[in-house]
This record gives sequence, C-alpha cells and structure tokens, in this order.
Amino acid sequence: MKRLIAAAIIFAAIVLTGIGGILTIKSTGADVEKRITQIQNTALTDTDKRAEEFFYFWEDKRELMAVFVNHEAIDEIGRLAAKMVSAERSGDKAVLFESANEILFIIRGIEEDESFSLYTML
Amino acid sequence: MGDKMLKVIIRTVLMYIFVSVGVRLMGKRQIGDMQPTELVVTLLISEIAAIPLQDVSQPVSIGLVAIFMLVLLEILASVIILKNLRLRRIFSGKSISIIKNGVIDQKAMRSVRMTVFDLVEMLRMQGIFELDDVESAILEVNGNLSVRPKPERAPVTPEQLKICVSDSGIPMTVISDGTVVTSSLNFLNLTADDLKIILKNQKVDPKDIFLMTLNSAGESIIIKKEQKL
Repeated sequence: MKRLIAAAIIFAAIVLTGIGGILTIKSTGADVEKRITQIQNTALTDTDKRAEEFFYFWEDKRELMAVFVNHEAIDEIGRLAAKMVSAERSGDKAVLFESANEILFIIRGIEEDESFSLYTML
Repeated sequence: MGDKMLKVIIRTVLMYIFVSVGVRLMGKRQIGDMQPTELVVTLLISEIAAIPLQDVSQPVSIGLVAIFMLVLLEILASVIILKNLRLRRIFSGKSISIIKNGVIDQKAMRSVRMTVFDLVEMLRMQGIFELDDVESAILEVNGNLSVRPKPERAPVTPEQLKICVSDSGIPMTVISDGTVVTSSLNFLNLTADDLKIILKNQKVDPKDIFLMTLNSAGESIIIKKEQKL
C-alpha cells in the first residue's frame, strides 16, 4: 500500500511537471511570437523601443523556461535579443529583422519539441 | 571556480538526492538481489542521471522526470508481479532446476547458457566443492543458485542428534562507537535504564565502548575503544 501511495505521488508530480512545462512553453512561446511579430510589423515606422522591451521580457522568462527547455536555446534567444537591441539603437533594420526571424525559428522549434506528435515522440 | 563548475556541483548533489530517493522507493530488494526489471531500471537510471551532469545545457527536470517515471513503472510492475503469477513469469522469468535428484540437467544448463565451470563456481560459492554432494540445485530468477545437499552429506542438526539447544535470540548492536542505539534496545524490550544497570555491573562507561552487542538472553559482547596515544 505504501508503495502504491509513493507511486501515486510520483505520478502526480510527473503529470504536474509535464503540464507545467507544456503550459509555460506554450504561453511564453505565444508571447514571444506576438512580440516579435509586432517588432517586425512596426520596425520600419515605429520609434518605440520594442526590441529593448523584448530583451527585458526574455530576461524575466529565461529562469522559468530553463526548467523545461535546453539552456543553449534560451541563451541563443537572449543573445539574439541583445543583438536586436543594438540593431534598434543603430537603426540597422536588416539585422533587426534577421535576429527576429531567428528568434521565431528557435521558439517554434521549442514549441514543436513540446507538442505531442509521432515525430517528436520517436 | 567557474559558473559551470558550480552548476555541475549543485546538479550532482540534486541528482544524488533524487536518485537515492528513487532507489529507496523501489524497495530494499533493489540493492541486494535484482530481478530482471529492476536491473533494467537501474541501468537506465544510471544512464539518465549522468546526462544532465555531463551536459549542463540540459534541464535537470528532464532527467528527474525520466528517473521518476522509471521508478513509477518499477513500483507498478512490482505490484502487478506480486498479484499475478503469470505476469511474474513474463516480467521476471522462472527459476530453473539445474540438478535434480543428484543428476545434472544438461538441457536446462544449455537453455540458460550455463557452463559446467559456472555451475562448479556457483556451488563453491555455496560452500560445496563436490558435485556429488548436491541433491538439487535451482537457478533463481535473480541469478543465484539455491542448493540442497544430499541428506547423507548435509550438516548434522541438533534436532537429529536430539540435543536441546536454547534460543538466545539475535544479538543486537546496542552501543556503536559510544552511542546507544535506541532502536536495538526497543527490539530487545529494554530501556536505557536497563542498559545502564548492565553496564554498571560490567563496570564500563558507554563512552568507552566501541561495540556492544546484546541478545534476548542477556548475553553481551563488549569491545572497548582503543586508547588514544
């Protein structure tokens, strides 16, 4: 009986960690996509510091994401976010777009890894 | 010390704690004699635990989830095996008789790919040096060989000699390196005061004792600590 209780607790912990991971990645991923798309759409006209906002947004999220996601991907997004900030300041739109696209590519890869499909399972 | 080194140290401590908890949850049998499923889980856990330690970019949670999933599967498998004999055979296999009525079953030996050298070695580990002494030998699912010697070669028991032997119980360690082991006293239905009386009669201070064992008949063995120079 004791072992079954232990098994039930372990099962609950695994399920909670799994659900927590999926929800965190999904919500952060959606947030990242929204912010990056906004940067791309308004980059040519807007003078607001959206890239800098994104940089601090990612700094806030990275700790939580590090629990579930490969740290290299998190660091890479951080590096690209910093690159976007300096591109925004210098007005280098090409670098800004390129970095934004790379961030989108990475975050979509992370989301895909987290989704249930035969491809990710095997 | 670099950041990465600190990361490795913290991760190692975490993994050590969680793997120890996991192995403990799987039960005591895990440590001594392993069933096939337990062996598989142990091998996998050791591999998985090493991944976040070697590659610090991998999140610890991935390793922990995998380890606890294996522990969960092992607990469930052991509960199912306990309830269902047929599944027990599928999961754990069955014991095989290698020597029956003093005769070696060569077909059985071939089926488990056991050589004569293996058999003789396993018998020696059981304290049997003559094949002729064995009445039956069974290869258990955990790989151990259980041996029953022939009645005429088996050690004589007090019962056969019709000798009355008193049972003095299991000797328990009541003092280890100067520290009283309360659980042992409880097992012997004794209190700390009872122990004090025994020690007073022996004229020894518990702090001077390296090891003291006591059985239910009240017989004790005391080994004093070596004097420091």
